[in-house]
Amino acid sequence: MLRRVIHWTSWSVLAACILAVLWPSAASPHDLEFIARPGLPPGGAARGTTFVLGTTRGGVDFITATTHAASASFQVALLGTLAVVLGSLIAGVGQGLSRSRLVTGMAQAMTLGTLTLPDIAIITTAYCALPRNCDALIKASVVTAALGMLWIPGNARLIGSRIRALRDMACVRASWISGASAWRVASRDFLPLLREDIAWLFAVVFPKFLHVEVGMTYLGLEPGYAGLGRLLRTTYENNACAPYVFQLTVLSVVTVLLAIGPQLVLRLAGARRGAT
Amino acid sequence: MARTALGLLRVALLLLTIGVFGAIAVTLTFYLVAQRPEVIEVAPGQVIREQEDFAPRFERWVSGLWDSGFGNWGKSRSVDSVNKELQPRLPVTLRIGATAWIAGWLGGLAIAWALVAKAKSALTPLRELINPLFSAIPSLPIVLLAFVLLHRHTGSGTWAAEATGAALLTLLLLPTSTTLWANALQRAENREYVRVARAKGIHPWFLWCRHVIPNAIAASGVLTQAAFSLASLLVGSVFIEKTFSLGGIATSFVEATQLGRCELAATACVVYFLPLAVGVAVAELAVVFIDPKQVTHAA
Repeated sequence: MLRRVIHWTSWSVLAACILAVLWPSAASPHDLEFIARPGLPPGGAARGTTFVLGTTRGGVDFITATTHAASASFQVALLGTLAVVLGSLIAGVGQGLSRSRLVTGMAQAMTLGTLTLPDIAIITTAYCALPRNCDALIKASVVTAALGMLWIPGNARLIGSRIRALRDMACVRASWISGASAWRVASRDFLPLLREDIAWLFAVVFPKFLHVEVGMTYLGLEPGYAGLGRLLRTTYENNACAPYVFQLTVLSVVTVLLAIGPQLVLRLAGARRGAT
Repeated sequence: MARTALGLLRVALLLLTIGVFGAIAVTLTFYLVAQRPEVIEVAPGQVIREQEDFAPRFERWVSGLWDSGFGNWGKSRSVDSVNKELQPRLPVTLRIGATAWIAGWLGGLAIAWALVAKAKSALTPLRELINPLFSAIPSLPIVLLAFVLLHRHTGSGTWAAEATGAALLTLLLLPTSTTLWANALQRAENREYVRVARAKGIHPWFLWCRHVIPNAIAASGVLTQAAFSLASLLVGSVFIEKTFSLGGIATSFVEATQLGRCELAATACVVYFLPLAVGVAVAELAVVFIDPKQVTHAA
């Protein structure tokens, strides 16, 4: 009974967090345009309103700013992760179904080569190559493409090896013999069996993307939107004041929770499967 | 004979692949940074921006490197000497990265040995819960938390900051390294020859040092993973250098990319690339020449 209560409480908290990240306005006590006195401590009041966690350097309610920043970072990381997962799936299925030694050798070389590339240098340079006034969407797309090039070969190789294991299964062989098209085999036979691999891939790639998104902004490479990285940097630059120290701690914890979110979902889903 | 030929072919292909990817990374870095005008300080508070074409600048840098036998990493209008700029910074980055890497993998081996030998029941939560969660934690917020909790009052740029940074990176690496070591050791420990050796009464220390650990290293890919973990350590050291104001290569690299200093940025890219390339090459070579499976296949 207690286990079930803990389980459903965890799911509820997680669902509330996901909703807050997807619809930040609904979870924010104030509007982003509502500006009060900058740097209010937790519980401070101004303009007839109490700010539970204080205000940022710009005078915005800290909870509101954090929710919106987390939402922006989450969306960018989500889109990037989906692009990498999709790219890995397409390349991996291609590798897995091919029996050519050349393809296998090329995939091995690509994996090895990309693993030796210093991603921090490539990403930093990709960010800097774009003009400062460049559209945020273009910047995010360029960085996503750069990261995709770095991360897809390794992940595609893993998916490819899984596909090679699956293609010799009796059900898949039966589908081929009965004349099913490649699309049908991929969608009906491979995809359900790859569901756990895809979830695992998502949970591994998402934190990396989030880290890049937050980290690059923290290093001073502006992405053009107010994500968690910008909020962390402005708070860090004011670390001499007590409210900002508190806020830096909260922001760091929020970033960690956002990064391990997919892993927590996987754990909870795994626990549920184990219970049933 | 067959083994040597196959091994040499693999080594040649490996070096070719690493060389090609390294050249692409450095050239791309140089090209992208060259698209920005270089910011040159002509007087205090007064700057001018000048842009030079990529091709002649790159040619000058490469020929300078070649002529000096890779001893002179060039200069630009705003940087008198790349060597002088990076020389005091390189030891900071190396100290943090190397300390964390060695401590992380040796510490992982020690903990894994203790778990496999004494507390096997702890391996399941390590594999299924602790390692996945720790692997997902980004280093930046942890570095910031440490800064807030430990270092904010002790000043920056000190050895204590470096030690804190290296300890944080070690802490983040430990669950992964422990899990990989534990998997490898457990697999090697369950082999028949180990069980036979144990039944014969060979001393446990001798058994672990002579049979279990070498076979775990050769057959499990721990070395390769150790080489790849350098990349995450380099990323982590970037945030540590920035947060604790340690003056490592990261600050110089970010500035160089923003201010159009191609020579400095490309050299920093080489510095980031080299440990990864050497690590991957050593790991692959070790597998080629140590792994019994490779020897059997070749024969």
